[in-house]
Amino acid sequence: MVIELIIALGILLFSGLMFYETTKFPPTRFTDIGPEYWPQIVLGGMILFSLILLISIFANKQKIGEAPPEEPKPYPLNFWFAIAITVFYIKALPVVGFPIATLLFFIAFLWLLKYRCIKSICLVTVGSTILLVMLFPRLLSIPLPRGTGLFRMITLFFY
Amino acid sequence: MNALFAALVNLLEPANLAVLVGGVFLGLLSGATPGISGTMMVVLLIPITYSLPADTSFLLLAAVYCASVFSGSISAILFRTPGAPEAVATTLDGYEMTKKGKAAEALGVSIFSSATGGLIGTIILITVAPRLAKVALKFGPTEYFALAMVGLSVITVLGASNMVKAVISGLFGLFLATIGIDPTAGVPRFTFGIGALMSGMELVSVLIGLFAISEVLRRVLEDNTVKQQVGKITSTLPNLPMIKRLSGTIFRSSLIGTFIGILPGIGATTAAMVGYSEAVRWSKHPEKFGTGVEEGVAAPESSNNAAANGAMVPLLALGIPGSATTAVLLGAFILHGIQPGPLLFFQQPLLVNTLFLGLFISNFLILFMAKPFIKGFANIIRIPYSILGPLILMLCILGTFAIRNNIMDVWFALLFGVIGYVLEKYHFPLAPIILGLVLGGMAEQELRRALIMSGGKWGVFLQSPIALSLLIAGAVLMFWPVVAKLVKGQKQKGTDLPAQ
Repeated sequence: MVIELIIALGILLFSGLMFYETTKFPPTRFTDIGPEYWPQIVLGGMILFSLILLISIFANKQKIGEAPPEEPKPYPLNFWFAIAITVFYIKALPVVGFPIATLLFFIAFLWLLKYRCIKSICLVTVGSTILLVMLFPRLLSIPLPRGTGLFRMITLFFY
Repeated sequence: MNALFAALVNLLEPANLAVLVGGVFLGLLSGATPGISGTMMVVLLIPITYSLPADTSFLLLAAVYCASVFSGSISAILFRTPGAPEAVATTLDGYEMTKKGKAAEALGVSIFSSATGGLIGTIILITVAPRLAKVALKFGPTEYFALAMVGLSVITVLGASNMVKAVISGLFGLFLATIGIDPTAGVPRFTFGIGALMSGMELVSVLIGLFAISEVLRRVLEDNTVKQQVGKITSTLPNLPMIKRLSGTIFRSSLIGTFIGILPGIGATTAAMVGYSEAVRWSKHPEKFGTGVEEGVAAPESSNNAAANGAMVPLLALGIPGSATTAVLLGAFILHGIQPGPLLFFQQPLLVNTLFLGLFISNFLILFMAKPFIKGFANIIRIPYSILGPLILMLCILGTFAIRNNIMDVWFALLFGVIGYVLEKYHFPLAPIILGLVLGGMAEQELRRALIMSGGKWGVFLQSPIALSLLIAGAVLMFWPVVAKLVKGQKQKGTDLPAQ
């Protein structure tokens, strides 16, 4: 219930802040229907419905208390690790280039998901990276990051 | 007729045929594999279609959409795990047939009914959509705004379990659509100095984040090391006496499915359930349903495939999506610089007719490709999610980057992945966000145009009979789930009282 409450309050706060932001839009010269008109209707609706949600959370307090607890997930921390790996990958892309960053990404992710067969990890990692390099930069001519310095030289070998 | 012939010639180009076959294969794969939906596959393919011509792109996406609706039944029949929500009703009799050792027959009936239902739906699509588009040509700003409202009214249907949350999701989507430079006044809105937001929130980033990345984030919490134990899988198409026996059920369910598919927001899942319950109602032996009868597989399968094609009618003729996947397809059209709606039939006749024929042939391809696919499916399903997960995530990152070669879009996709995960965990439906994002621009621009023309008077919407009818239809569609819930609650109270 606490998280539901935080989410509802978060939506209310977000909508309120964005509504305030619309008051800073410059007015139009020729008509009253300016750039703030529609966003204010939408954000007004969001404020109204987040208030209804808040009221309904309080009204259903009893019911929520009776609801059976959610089954615990085997690896709850994996959510944060998966995000961390992805953030590092996106950050590393411009520095080490696509092929090397992708190899490391696959190894880290497979390890995170408890894949422990070294032979398969090597096969999947190298195979997937080659496939993606063939598809995106080579076939579809998408300029994926090449990295800098030595990494750039290595990437240039691939595309 | 000339346009259809030109489309046929276009479709027979080797590249287009190959794309169609590839699309059906990917659709079969995504629908059959639990954890990868047809919508997700369409989303992942959108960035790849940038380098392809528009007709080829939409052949690919439509084939994926069409085939994924059918293939959800494969895992529903074999493992009682619907690969797609549309196949929920198929589990009722399909899995019972598997338990009886008749899995091959159940799969065969599913293939035949799906292909037939899809073909009937496509024929109705080809006949109805152009006529509807001709009517829609008379539309002005008031009618277009009313039409957008009809499209948005679907939000309450998509989130019937918690309407307040569904409306918040829809409004959030409408808010996202306002980000960027306002096309009427030229003023930046909610950009906060971020250059990448000037042209608006990138639809693909939102789509990939909400539907694909959030799903991977959800799956990483589970134990993905468990391998699916699968034996040899085959399928047997129904023989002539069986086809004769099932023809009435298939035809009736296909008509029901197409009609439900045309109605915005009802979708293939409801169509399958209605098709199934009507098959029970019309059957001479209703007591046998649920014990593993062929009619129990034929009815939902023909109905959901017909509905999938029926949902293309409002998408193409009016530019309003009827389901989550058609909302994604609408986004794909916009990304290719094409606005679905009445003008599409006159500006892009080749594209529309190629798409029609592509859908028609896709259903035939399902009939021929499903059998060998099912044979190989046993090997595909053995691939653990610990390999599929990172691959999907990688495709998400590359797909988002490929749109504008901008790393900022990847960050946005990741952000929406987290938002999608949290929202879904707390029962906020995601499809209304996409509906709001896709229809928001149209709704705002047409509303402002109509109000500017009328001097700011809202009464202008009551002066046009078409706009008024559409607004009433939208209101009925929007409040129908609320009324239905109230009526259901009252009925339940009524039945509970005597017991007390």
